[in-house]
Amino acid sequence: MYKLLLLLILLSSTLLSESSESMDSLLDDFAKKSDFSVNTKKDNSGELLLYTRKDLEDMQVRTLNDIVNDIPFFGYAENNFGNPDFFNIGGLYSGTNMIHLYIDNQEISYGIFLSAYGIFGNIDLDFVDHIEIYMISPSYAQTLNSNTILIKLYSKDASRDAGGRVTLKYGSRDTHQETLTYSQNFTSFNYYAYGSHLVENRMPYNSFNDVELSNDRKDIHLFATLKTQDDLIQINYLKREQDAFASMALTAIPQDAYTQTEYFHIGYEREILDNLDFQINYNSTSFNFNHIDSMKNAPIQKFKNEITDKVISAKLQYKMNFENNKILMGINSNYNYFTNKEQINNTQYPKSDYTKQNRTTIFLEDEFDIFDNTLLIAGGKYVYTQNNSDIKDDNYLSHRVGLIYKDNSSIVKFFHTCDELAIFPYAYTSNVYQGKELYNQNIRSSTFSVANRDTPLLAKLTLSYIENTNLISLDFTQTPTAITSHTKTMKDYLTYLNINYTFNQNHEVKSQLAYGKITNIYGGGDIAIINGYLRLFNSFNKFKLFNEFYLFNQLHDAQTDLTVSYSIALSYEYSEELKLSLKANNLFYSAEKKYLPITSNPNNNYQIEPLMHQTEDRVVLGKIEYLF
Amino acid sequence: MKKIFLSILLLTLNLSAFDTQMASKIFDKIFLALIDKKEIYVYTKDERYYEVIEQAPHLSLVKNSSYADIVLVNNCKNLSPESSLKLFTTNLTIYKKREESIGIFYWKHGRPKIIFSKERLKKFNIIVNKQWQKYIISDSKI
Repeated sequence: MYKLLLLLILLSSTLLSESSESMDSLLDDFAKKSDFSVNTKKDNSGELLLYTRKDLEDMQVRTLNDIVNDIPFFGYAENNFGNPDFFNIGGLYSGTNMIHLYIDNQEISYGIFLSAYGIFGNIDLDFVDHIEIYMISPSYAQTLNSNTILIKLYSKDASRDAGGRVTLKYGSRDTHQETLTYSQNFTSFNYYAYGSHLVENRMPYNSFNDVELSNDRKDIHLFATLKTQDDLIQINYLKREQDAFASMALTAIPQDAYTQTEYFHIGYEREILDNLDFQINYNSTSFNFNHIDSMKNAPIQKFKNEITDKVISAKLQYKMNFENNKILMGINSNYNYFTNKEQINNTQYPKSDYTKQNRTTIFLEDEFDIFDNTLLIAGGKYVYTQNNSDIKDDNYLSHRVGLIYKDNSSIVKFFHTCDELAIFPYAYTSNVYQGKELYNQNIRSSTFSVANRDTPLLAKLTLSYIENTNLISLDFTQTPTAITSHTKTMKDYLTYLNINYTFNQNHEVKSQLAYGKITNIYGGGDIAIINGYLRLFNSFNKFKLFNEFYLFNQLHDAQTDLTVSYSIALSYEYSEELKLSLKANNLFYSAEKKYLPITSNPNNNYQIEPLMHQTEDRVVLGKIEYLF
Repeated sequence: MKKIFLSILLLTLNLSAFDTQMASKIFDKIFLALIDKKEIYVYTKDERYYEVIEQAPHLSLVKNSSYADIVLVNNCKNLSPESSLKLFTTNLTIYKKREESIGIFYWKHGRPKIIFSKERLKKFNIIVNKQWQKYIISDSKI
């Protein structure tokens, strides 16, 4: 009841506020309308969730998982190792190859899993200007990967962020983060440099017999860009040490489990000629995992895993306008070298000699103005995959078509995509590969959306249907557990409604409500979920207030598990140079509970009994930001 | 050389995502604060600002700088030799270098920012309204 009262008070304050015509408000409005996201977002590319710099600042978004949680139906999930995992259906980075991350236009690659989401899905965001999340495979201008979700982080730019910035954050359980940013403009180039040290102490979670599991981590993250008119160099480095939560302990009680990850990326982009772009990237990842089970007679009592991964990619892309056509074409090559060494109970698992996967993609896409206001989009790509060892080479075709109608007041979009995903190499190199034939994953989707374009009320309704066949996952019904292609077609029915209302530049309401149902999900059965949020953004002179109510309801067997979590953020601009902030996330510790799928209860004859836990911690964090 | 000039152009007010209508309102207000006239003649060599000036209700473009009340400069390429004309810029380097620059409109720490130079306003005998006082900053603090 008190939550409802609070909501009414906040809404009233929003409704009763008046706009100001001062120079400051004009500057705020100019900043909003000149936001970089206005430039980068491509309505024609696909279905998009957009977070502007103002959104990120007002919400005091700290790490990417806060944003991923908004993805309709899916939200944010972590696996038994405490790592971001798209589906979280057991052990493996399930579905992670369907979600890809980019910083600006360069992919954060981790070739052995075909996506670095498992590492970067909860990365710190102080270096980010704005975020775009594309649902279902977007335009080839955005990515050549076959995605269900594409996340693009756009870094801050020296042309607008010249100067220095120091932030100190401290909060619950000694969690703290220190960041330093410096950027400068010169006559012919500019640079942006960012460094972050993060110690994230998560809420301890009680496993069976009240044993506390730890998912704490320490990150050192460095990011830099160097830009001239035609060239761009991006460097990204992450070093992480993390407790591995429930790890692979059968009873979810590891004696000792931790991971160490080191990631490095350097990328270079150049506009060679008008409309001809070139890009080359190098990524290197090293991952170490150590596990000791508390159960002395566990089949895997000790486990060591060492992965090294290198990806070199090069892309050439040409854009041309021809009559009513905007044509995009190009070629992309990925050279991926990896090793996966696993040691089980002090015995080296036979080392796989599968160490190389190269992918070459050629693509063509056309945006054709068929009538005034109506655009037809058609694109196709051909992918050729080469593997060494006895893994067979492969090739496949993907395509996407779209129809977009736009006028001054509305935009209607329809997309149909048909994608095939290469098998991620880890599947063949791990001990869970038991020689069972694996198949390329197929994703077909149709999406329809209608949105109005009038302010102050922005409303958008999206309907999606997705078919997902051959999702690679672990089959626990087999002994030993085997990696397998889930050949039953999973069918996703998703619908979500976004409504934003801007009262004036100081007061805004944003909301999202999603309903989704997946049939034939791995393990059998269906799952239906309602989730969404209501966000209130209010500014009062030097104070900014953000309130969020996040709703989650899983529907199964006529039962409902309704949870509502509440977060609040307050910031105060003491001066132009000094800003103080406070955020309480999941204040009542009432967020959605997700489950750890493969755990056995030691007190109940080791029966499979999934543990339920909240992936969203209760965190209260204060922040001091100083600009110089 | 051309590339260097282009770089400067992009590194100033960052026109790559620029709201012309809002910029017109802002320049209109700034120049009305600095020049005590109802119609202000503005000279600029930068074509990207033509539309900004044309959309502003109290500003008019002039083709000859000698008729201008104020000159808007956003890159070194378009910078005339030193003169007695008042300059307003969107480029921090120009603002620091040129004594005639009475003010600047630029981005800092992700926010658009306006500065009027305390010393140079005095030099040009410009007195601005009370509401603009908070934008007046001494050159020693830049």
